[in-house]
Amino acid sequence: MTARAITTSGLTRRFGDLVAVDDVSLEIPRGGVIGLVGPNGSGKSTTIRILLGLIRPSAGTAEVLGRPIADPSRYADRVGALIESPAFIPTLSARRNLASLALLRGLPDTRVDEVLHIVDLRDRADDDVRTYSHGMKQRLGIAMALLPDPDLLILDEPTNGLDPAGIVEIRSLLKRLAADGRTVIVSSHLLSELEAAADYVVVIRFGALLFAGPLAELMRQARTGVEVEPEHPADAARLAKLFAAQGWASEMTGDTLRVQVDPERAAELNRAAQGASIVLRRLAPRTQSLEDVFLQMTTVAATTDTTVRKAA
Amino acid sequence: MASSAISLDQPRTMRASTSPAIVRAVRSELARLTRRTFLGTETLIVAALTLLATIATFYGAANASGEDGFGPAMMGAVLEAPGGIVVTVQGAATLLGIVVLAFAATAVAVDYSTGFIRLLVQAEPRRWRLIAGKAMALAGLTVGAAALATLVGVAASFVMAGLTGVSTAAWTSDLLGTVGATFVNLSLGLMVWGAIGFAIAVITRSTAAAIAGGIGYVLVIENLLGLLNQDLAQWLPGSAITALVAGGNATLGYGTALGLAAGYTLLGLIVSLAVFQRRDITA
Repeated sequence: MTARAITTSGLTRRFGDLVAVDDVSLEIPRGGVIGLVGPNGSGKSTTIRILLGLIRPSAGTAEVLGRPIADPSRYADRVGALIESPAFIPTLSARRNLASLALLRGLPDTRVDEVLHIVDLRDRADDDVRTYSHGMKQRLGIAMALLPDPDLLILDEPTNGLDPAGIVEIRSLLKRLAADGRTVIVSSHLLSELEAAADYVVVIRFGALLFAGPLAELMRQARTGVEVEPEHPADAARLAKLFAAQGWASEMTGDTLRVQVDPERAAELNRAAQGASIVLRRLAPRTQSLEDVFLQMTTVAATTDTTVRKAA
Repeated sequence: MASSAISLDQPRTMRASTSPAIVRAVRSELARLTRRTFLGTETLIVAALTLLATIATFYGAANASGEDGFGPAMMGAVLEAPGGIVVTVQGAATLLGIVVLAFAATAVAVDYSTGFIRLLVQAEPRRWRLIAGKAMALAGLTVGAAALATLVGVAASFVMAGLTGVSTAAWTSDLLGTVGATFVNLSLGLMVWGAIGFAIAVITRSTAAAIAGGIGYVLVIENLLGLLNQDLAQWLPGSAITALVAGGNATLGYGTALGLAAGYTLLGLIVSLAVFQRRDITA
């Protein structure tokens, strides 16, 4: 059994002049929750479709569960996916939608009941899907992805339309599946969700790979600092000059200063402020979230792209 | 939920079906195609059209003026002949063909419009099996539609003959043979229509475009071609289907019509398969 869920090498897909996936080479380990992150139109869905055999690459190679994507039939029964939005026949019940796929995959009827139970749709399983709420349709989409009891599960925005309780349930389900040794790839724009669940992160922008590695490694790029708010807003500018004189860079947002120092040095900031007779209302350590790191990373990439384009 | 991941090299204990993949593909299609909104609508339309065609034919024969040389006597003679019992079914064949074309196109296009096609291709990446499964399932429904139309047409013909005074004495001389042959020929003819709708829908991925294209071709383009070149027109799909359903006619013998119909069906399926195999699934 291969140690990698997905391996790509120079994977590229062009649609005319548009390069949707640009020379992506990465290795995604087996097991755990993998976050696939990128702005809209960054090539996440195209990459997923290539891996599932729905779209052919223009160049490059890839393997899914150790099998080449040139023959998806060799891994199709190990992979389940929810791409972009749930797909279903609206005038059929959830049970018959699932049964149609179960028949095609050669799965027993009992599996349909199992996945309906997992996503908590049993009570409405025999109603036409057109009568479902958005969240229920999303659950059905997840049930369809779970149907083959996959080793590799790929879910695009799985918590779309779910209420807070549903989001918690899905997050818990993903963690359970990963704990079972499965690989769960989750594409989401809710980065806080991924931060809570992902072990490994892949960041894509303009079809190109920006980062692929453990979440902890990505978060090491997160800048730490201290947020400082003087009691009197008028003191904010004076405080910034004071910190600058000490060699501590800061940026002002409203009345709050974000000082780029190790949070361990918060007491030094306080003492410096007191020395200048400035009373602080708030002094709080701050670490960038995944969202901050992502925005920073994609903004830097965008700036670089623009610079390169201008230079060209 | 299973408690542990399963190795790629282990057989899956969950897999229960030992049916061949193609049988699974047909059953999967039937599970969707037999939904009441699809099958129910097709059944109603086929039955209603056949009934209307039968009523119109018998009342038309009873009320015809004879000025066009096809008056009550001549039409009555056609209806009272041994094959008179299936005249209305044969007459309704083109309308029924359009219905079958529309439903075949819908069956294909709805998979694209709903995005279900990506689930199907994920589940069965050997795309030819999906095409073959859908074609076989639709062929089964088409045979059912032909059977329904034949039954309704025959039953209604007996009723209408009684109401309009048409003699049915000759109908029973070879009732099973006549009705059976009409059923078979109608089934084959409708399958050609279905294959046309199927192919156009695979190419256009749109129900509306497929129906408009199919009907537009048969009702407009083929008639225009016929006006331009009569010799060419007899070889075109619409003429071939008409001749096939009638068991052969003055322009095309039965064997030729059957060969042409088989050729057009095969062409439709080959085009569908070629397009579906190569095209990206972006739905």
